[in-house]
Amino acid sequence: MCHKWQGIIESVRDSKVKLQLLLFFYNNPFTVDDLEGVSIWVGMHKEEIAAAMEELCRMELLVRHGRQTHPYYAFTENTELVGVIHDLVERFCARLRSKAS
Amino acid sequence: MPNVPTGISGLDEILYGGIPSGNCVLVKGPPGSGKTTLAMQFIHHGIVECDEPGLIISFEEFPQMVYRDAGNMGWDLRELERQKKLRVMCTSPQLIQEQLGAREGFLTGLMEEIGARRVVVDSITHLQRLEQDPVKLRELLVRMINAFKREGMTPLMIAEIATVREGVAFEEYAVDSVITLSDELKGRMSTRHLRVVKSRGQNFIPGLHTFRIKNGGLQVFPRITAPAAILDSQPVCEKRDGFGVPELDQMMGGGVIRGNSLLLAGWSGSGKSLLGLQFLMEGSRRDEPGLLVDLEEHPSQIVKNAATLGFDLAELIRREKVFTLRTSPVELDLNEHFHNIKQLVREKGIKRVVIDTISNYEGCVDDPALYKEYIHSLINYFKNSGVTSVLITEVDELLGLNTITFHKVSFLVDAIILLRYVELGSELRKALLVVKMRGGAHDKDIREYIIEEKGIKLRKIAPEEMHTRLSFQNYNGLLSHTPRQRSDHT
Repeated sequence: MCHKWQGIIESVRDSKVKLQLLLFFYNNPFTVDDLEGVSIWVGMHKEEIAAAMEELCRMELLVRHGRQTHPYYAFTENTELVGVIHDLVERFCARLRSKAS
Repeated sequence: MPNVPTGISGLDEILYGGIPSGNCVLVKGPPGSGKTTLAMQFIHHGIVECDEPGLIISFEEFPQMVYRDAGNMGWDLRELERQKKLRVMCTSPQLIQEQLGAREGFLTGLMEEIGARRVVVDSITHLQRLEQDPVKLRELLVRMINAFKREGMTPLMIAEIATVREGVAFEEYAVDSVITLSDELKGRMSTRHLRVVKSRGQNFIPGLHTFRIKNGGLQVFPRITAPAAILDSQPVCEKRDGFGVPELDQMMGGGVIRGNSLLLAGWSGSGKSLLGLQFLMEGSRRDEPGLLVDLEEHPSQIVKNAATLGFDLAELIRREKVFTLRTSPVELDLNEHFHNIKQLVREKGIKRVVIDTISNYEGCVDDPALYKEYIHSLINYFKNSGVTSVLITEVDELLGLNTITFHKVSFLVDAIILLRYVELGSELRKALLVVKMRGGAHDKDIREYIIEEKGIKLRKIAPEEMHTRLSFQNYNGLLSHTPRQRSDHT
């Protein structure tokens, strides 16, 4: 795994909001929605996810589309990156499972 | 333009092939009525069977749940996504509204990328999040429909309702076809119904059809329609199908005319089922596959009963000379039952059918007219398929021939055989009478029969026995409860 992805993983791993957002887009890869819509899907306040969404876009894990005034978001189509996210999500889910048990 | 097949067994039959190309379909129903399953099936069939890629837009259900539920039906949607033939996207109504107006938005790009031809929106009820005013809401929906049509797609919209008894909503006017799904509770039983309310540009079978959801999706059973009694080319046949009881076949001029229906009515224990069985056994001997539609006993019991009389029914079933269709009268849905009979007749090349007993159908219908319609449909279906049918009914000891079944069915059938008990002297004996025989002469004598090894046999009292045994010939009023000895024989 290259250094670039390693940094991303560490950044995401430490943020529960980012992990939850990434998990949502990973499980539903053809989601396209605006901030309002995503906040409903993940069950969090808009304000709570706004910064995390922008950061995930900067990391290229999400792709920002649309107008500056009304952006909407989609999951990355970079297959290499999707593979990295897969590992990350797997570890996150395993952690959730062990917590639950 | 050709119709777009939905791929839903029975629904395409109701729609005479499918939905007219370009029609926007609205599927509405209360929660759990099967709307999403129907929509997924429509999309899956389009991709797999018609090479028409599809798009599912969900406003509430997570795509991962859609994948899971589809997987339970046997549809691998993720694989279809990998093949770039499907996209299941979750989004919000406001974004779709914005994108449909844009010529180069992500939605247009997505539709072009996979070449989508079918689209499902689940559900348009969420458009209320954007607009409450009914006029503006309708405008919004029409714009959405037209945008999909502009791209050459067949849209299927899902709408949620509390009950099917709700009034006509504006969306029903905006779309081309409306299908409602419902789930009716009758006693402790639940029956699913499908109804095509409208479908522009095509004919369809109106009314309530039943359906089931099982592995593989919805299976719709078109309601029994008023029988197409007179086909332009109804098969006519002079061939006779006998019972293999020589004296009885002789009484009927050789047997029942091929394709005709016979009502076999009799008292309990008079041997109706046995005679029905002999009809099938004789058919198998002549290489004519038979079907026993059994609504009372379990097939294993019938096999056992047959064995006690020396009939190896088990072997005939094993060799596929006789088929059985067992349905519990408690679970009986007439539409589904009729569908199953037709399927067996078609697939197994059935030539003879015995239904034991048609009295059981009575309990399944609320409306007595429907019962008559059902029997009429069955008889006509058999006739048009060249299948000879024996419909068994029980005659009540007290009501005699006035029972509902006999009363309603006797004029529909082509022939009637009556089996009953006769009390003569100190003996209870069995009498058989061919009451009616359309299309041919028949023996009108009341004949005595006996049940022995290898089935029913007609009995004739030999002249030398006359002094020891009372003969039917010596009596009047045998079918009444008080036969009287004829004066010329006293």
